[in-house]
Amino acid sequence: MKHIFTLFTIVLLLAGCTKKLDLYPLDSISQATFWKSASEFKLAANNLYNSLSQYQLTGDLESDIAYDVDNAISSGTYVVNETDDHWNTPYYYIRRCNTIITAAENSTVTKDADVIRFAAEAKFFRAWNYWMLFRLYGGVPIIKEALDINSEVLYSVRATRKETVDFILQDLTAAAENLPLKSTLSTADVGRITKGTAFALKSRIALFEGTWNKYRGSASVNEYLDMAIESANNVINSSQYSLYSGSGADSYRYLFIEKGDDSPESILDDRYEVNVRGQGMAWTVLQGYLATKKLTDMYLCNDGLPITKSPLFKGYNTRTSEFQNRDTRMTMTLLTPGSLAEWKLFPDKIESWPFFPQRNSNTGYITNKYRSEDRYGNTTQQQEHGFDTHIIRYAEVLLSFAEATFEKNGSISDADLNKSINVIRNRVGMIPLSNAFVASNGLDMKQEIRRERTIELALEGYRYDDLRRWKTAEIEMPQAIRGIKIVGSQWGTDQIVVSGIDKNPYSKATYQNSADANGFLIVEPTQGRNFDPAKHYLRPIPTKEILINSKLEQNPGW
Amino acid sequence: MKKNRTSLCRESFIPMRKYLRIMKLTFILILMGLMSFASVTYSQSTKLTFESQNVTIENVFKQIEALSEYKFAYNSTKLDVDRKISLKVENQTIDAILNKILGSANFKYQIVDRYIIITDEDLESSNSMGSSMQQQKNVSGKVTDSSGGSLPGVSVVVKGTTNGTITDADGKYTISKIPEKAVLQFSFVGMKTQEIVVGNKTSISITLSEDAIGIEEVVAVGYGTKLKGELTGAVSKADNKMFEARPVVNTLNALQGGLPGVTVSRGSGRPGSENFSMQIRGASSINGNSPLILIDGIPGDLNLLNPNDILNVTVLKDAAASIYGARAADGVLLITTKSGKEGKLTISYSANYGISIPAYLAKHASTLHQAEMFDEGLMNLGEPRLDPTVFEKIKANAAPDLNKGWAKYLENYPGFYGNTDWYDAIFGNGQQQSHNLSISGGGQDHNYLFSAGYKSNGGILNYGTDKSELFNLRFNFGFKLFNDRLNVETRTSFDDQAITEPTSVDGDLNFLYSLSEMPNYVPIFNTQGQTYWYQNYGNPIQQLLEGGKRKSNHHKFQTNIKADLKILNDLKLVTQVGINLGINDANSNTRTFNLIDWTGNIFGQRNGTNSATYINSKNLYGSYTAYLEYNKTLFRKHQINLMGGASHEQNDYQDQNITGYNFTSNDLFTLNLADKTKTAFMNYSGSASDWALNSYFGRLSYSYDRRFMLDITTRVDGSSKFAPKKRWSALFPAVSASWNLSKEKFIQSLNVFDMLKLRASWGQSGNQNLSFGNYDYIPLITISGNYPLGSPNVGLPGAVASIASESRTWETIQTTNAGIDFAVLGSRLTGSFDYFIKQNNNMLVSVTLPATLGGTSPTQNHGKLETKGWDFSIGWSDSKGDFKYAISAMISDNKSKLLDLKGNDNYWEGLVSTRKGYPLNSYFGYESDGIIKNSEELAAYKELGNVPVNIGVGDVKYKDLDGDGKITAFGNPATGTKGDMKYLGDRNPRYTYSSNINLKYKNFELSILLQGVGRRNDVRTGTVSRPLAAVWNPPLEWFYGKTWTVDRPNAEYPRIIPGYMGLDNVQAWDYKYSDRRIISVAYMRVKSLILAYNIPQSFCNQLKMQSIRVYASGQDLFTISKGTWGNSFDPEEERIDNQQTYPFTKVISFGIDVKF
Repeated sequence: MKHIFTLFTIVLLLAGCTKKLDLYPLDSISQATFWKSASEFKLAANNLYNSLSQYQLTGDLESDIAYDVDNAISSGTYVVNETDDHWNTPYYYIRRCNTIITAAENSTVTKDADVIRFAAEAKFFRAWNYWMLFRLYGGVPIIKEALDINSEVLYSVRATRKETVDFILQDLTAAAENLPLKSTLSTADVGRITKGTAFALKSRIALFEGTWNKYRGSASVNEYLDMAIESANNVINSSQYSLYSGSGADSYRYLFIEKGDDSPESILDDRYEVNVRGQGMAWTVLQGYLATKKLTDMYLCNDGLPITKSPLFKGYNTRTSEFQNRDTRMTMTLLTPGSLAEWKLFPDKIESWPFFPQRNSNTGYITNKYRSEDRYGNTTQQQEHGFDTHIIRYAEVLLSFAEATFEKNGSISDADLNKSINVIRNRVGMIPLSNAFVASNGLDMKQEIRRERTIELALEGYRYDDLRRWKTAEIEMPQAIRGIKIVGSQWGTDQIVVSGIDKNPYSKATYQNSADANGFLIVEPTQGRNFDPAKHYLRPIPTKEILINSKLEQNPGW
Repeated sequence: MKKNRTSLCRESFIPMRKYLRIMKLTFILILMGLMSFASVTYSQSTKLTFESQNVTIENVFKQIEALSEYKFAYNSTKLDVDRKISLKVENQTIDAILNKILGSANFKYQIVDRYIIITDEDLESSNSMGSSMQQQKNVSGKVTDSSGGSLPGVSVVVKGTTNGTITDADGKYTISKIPEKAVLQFSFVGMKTQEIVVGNKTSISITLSEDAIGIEEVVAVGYGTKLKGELTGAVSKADNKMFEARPVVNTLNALQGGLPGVTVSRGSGRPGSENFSMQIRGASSINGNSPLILIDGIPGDLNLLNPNDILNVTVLKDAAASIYGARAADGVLLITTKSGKEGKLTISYSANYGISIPAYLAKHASTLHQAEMFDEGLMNLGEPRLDPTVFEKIKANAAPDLNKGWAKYLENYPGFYGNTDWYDAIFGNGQQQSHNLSISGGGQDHNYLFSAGYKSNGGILNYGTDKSELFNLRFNFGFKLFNDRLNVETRTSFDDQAITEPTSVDGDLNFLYSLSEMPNYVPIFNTQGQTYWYQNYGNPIQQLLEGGKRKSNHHKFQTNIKADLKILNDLKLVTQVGINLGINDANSNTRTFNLIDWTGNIFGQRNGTNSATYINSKNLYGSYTAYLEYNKTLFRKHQINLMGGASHEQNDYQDQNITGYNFTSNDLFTLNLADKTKTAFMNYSGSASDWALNSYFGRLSYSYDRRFMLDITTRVDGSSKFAPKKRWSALFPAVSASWNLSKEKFIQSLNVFDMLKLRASWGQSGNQNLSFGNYDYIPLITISGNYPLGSPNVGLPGAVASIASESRTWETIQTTNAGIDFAVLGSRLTGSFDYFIKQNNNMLVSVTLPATLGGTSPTQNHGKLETKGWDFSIGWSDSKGDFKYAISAMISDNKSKLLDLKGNDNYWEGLVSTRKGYPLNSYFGYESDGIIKNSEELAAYKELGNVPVNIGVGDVKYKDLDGDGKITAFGNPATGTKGDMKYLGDRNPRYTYSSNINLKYKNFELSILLQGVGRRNDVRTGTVSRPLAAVWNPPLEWFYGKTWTVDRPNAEYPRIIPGYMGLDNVQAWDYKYSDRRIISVAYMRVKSLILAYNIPQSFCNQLKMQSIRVYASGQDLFTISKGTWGNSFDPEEERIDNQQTYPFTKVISFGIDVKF
């Protein structure tokens, strides 16, 4: 008995100790066994789509055409950060892209067309993420592979501006080659990157760099402008895209909410779906993502003339007068005060005012773009709307084509205008732009092209980049942020009676005291606004990065 | 020589049968079956072989004690134990040996199980004949130990005479012919001698307490036990008194302040989620500090352990822990649970009922004060001031204005003028209770203990139910087989914790968040008496009541069998198998509820799609250990103990997580009622992982005459968590030695020390309980996420490759310790001091690599950390007649310093966990230079660069420390500047102390436990750290009248700048990390205060009970601390960045302990 027990324990002991310590993950796949089939490359590529949410529609808050509360970028009061997600996040995704690209190169299934396609998606996203860096910082260290923690390459110097943008454009060219056309996407692949996406982004970036260089007297202007035109043409001529017109005269309004999803205008979307990945823009506009006077004044009257020239402009004296006889995009972007509308948390139509249900009365304008009418989304939690965020839409390509053409040649033909800007104007029933119209009315073609771009893409996050590449930020940004006319207008005198009570804040002393000489509400005075051309055109590189890698040179002025 | 053998076996069966009839419990039936093994007694079966030449009788006794389980009891004034004898025995029973030793003397002995009690015959005979004395009487009674067990063999002598006796197997004695003025002296080896004046008493029952020095006390050490006198390492022990008679519902709570060098802190007052954390001797790594907790030798969870089941707790703090190798870096806590004692069956029952009272509730400014502070902010911003009528209305507690708010951004919502303390409304008193029943006993070759516990800890929410209930069952059974050669001990327990709470105690609709945002002017109910939402302020009460419910259960089943097999007399094989099965299940739901406004209109919904989540997890842990132990005494004085063994541990974990959405009913949330029409309405996930650890360990102990002791241990661990080439890369050696100076003549001649011992140790141990995964060396592909692609949109997961490192391995922590133990003044004053240095030479640190890496780099063994500190404990105990008192105090301190980070030396404004040359968790920031008092000062200060252009009078000035003419965080290596940030101190608790005061007078006992932290600095952050951080955040009352204005030029805080009103950069400037923001959260707390009364024995006897004790007790009653900001925060609160900590409570309770 004693021996049996001893034996038993010894056996137990041996069984225990010889048991292998080689344990492998039970709920994750090891890299060594991954990358065996196209479906695995696809799985890896899926993750990259999350990098699209770096694009913020609210980016216009950093510019002069939108306001909510004091924004450090917009007012030029920002300081150097120790770390910055604008710097870190793109590199996160660049690593993921590099992993896929390298795996595809080394894969035994390299010849598989699908593997090539998803490697091309990875190249697109690598370009996208470098673009996210480039637009803010200029040249950055270029990392082309997933680095080991001991790699010297981690401590690279910044590539030059040209090297960086060329690397991005080159990736896009390569990606375009191996990506499918939008029309060939299976229903399960709707929303994935296509050839058109790569060309459209290429056109955007080439225009950015072409104009950037042009207004700074740098070399390589036409090289990029040509590329912008060519890439835009690739998109236009592919016959894959057209403007959304599914909601008739209101198509521009509905493009940005549920009805506009997966339209022929979509080139690149950050995609949302109820209960999968809900989005909060409807909430954001309820809180107040507001147009400034500068934006609203830019809308043409429906005779095609600016308010300063058009006899149709009705002035600011009533609450609705400035909305009359204007480009319809004005009321599709901003609600006419007092109109009935559904809102987030207010599923039934109610009278809309700058202060109710919209919660921010800062500029006095009411945001209509992204205001959802989806009852389900409006009654449920904050982040539960399913409409997509359009990151690149066909209209932008048309606008880029027109601008690049004009910037390159100093002029643009009526044919090119008809092919681009007038397609956009046509959708909203605006009279077409022509060289003759510009000439006869004493307008400036460059300004009209820029106006068209700003109006069409208002509150979509383009303005900050545009002002910087045009090098007009130093003029535009330090100007005071203004809103509606509150002194000497109906806003300043009339009651706005809701449920029997006057709710109009603008007639109160608080607001009446903060108007300019012409009676317009000053939301942020010039003293609060700074833009130093010596430093503010580029963002500072986070200090921690420079601390770790002393080879990293800080941007000028910081 | 007379032989007088007592068999306990038969006696103990009589009460057993009696209770059996009454209780009819099945487990006792099983017990009976097992107990019938009992057959041969120890004294008949145990045969000894040894040889002694010319040694004292005392040493022969010790030799026998070492060789066997016998313990000797004798009165050394009677028996000449210093007499030297020579003796040779071969395979003889104890009877034969004792006859040889005592043969010539007039002594008799009695064997009570393993106790050998020697008395002189004269004494016995004089007792029987002494009838000539006058006015003499008989006294009888019972002697027990501190846990209530009877003590046989205690010598009871009338002081100054030879009259005396010895207690019997039940601890009872009768002594006759005692003069009135006599004093009875009770003495027993290892116990403190007690003297009692007889007076007119005829019954004297006493409890002997263990000798403070406790040389003979057995202390658990790694894979074995040692006598306290032979310890070489820094080991502290606490006994069951710490856990009994206190209204604690958690073991960790009871350990707070209980052991020198052990710091326990709480994270929250939320029932069942208190987030206790324990640290032994400060930080040994930045990667978490969790001591290895072994309950009866198997890793366990202190949160679920029934504190009443604990017999004692030993903490191994230095090289003594190294025997546990890779997991011992933070020390080891060895918990031994109670087991039955030989003797008759004992049933004890204890009950406690307590009321918990919230101790620290955040105090938001009253409506009037908030309005004043807001108005002050408006003035500072140059904005139009508040309408004076607002103040009048507030003072008059006026009715709300329907659509005219006075607060910024709320102008178009109802304006309120009342004052409601939401914290008072939401938190009230809670109730807690505990019940424990234990049944224990045993015979000569078996012992048993059954215990059942129930504890309920009710939360302090006035709305919704939150409580945690703990159910504990334990059955500890030990038996001996094969002539006592095989000793088996089993420990089986089942613990169940059930937590019920509203879903909104955390997560998306966290009521604490809503509460922290809620200004005092908002009334609780609207005009219709409903819970409503004021603008965007969530209503915490509605969230609690209607947000849904959660029920979580932690079940733990643990069984553990340990067998000791005596292969030879000197050689023992010990095997232990432990299995822990942990099952957690939780289900929580979110209900849809309507958002109602002030007038009662529904304006929206929350949780529009209701949902229910079901989570199940299972953890199976197995531990298999075997070791051989060899004991030998050579040349009489050289004792050698060799131990060597191996163990294997394996852990398997898996969980499932299912969420269903859109349930048809808002009350029933079983999954079959979930909406299954859309894929988006189904969500499930799961995970699984495992790890294994193989270990080999050994110890050599050597003791010379119990004067000089040496221990050498080593351990090798192989872990599945590391790459194969790093798997067996560490060996953890340790050496420790002690020198018992009080055995040396030169110390004895001083006549000062009753005990004096020096200790020194050095050892290494590893840290495997790191915050990284089980397979981190394998580059993994994680598949997760839900990006919608396709038409219709379907959420697609994505795959991401992780960054792995194959070169990582254990952190090796080297501990050097020197200590001294002493006892003076007749052992009434005892103390112990230890100094230690802990060095972590390859700490895993998250190496900050350039962002170009594109991921979180795996931590690497690049850090070097040193922690130096000391523990000191001292105790005094004495008695004067019926008054007994004992005071003990302990204080510990440690300070860490990061020595090396291999060049990854980063810091920033605020809390920096690691920076070379500084303690862990250090603050860096600016040095303030006061507040700008006037425009001249302002103009002068604006000369400095990088000062905000819009800074004004009333804002903070910071010093340009590096003198470069601008305020810069960091220096510029090119120009040689150092930046303006400096070290502001660290947030680690220093000088943690506690003191225990016990007073006993007759039947009354008072015990007080003080506990505290001597120094601790911290910074509060987030919205609570400044008034009107955002203009809609209610300010704390604390700031009222403390902010700078022209009228308050010496104010503590800068001017109020309400957030989100255009000057946010200046507000951020004023509240930059600087010396201004450092607060002291040191504290002293009356941790526990107990007043107990022991019902007189005579009364107990009438009730046929052994003892009854009633007590009233207070837990955390009073606290002294500077940094509570007007009692808004508990100084112990770990999460200091907002008001979202569930409040801590103080508890007042009443309890009773009875023993049958």
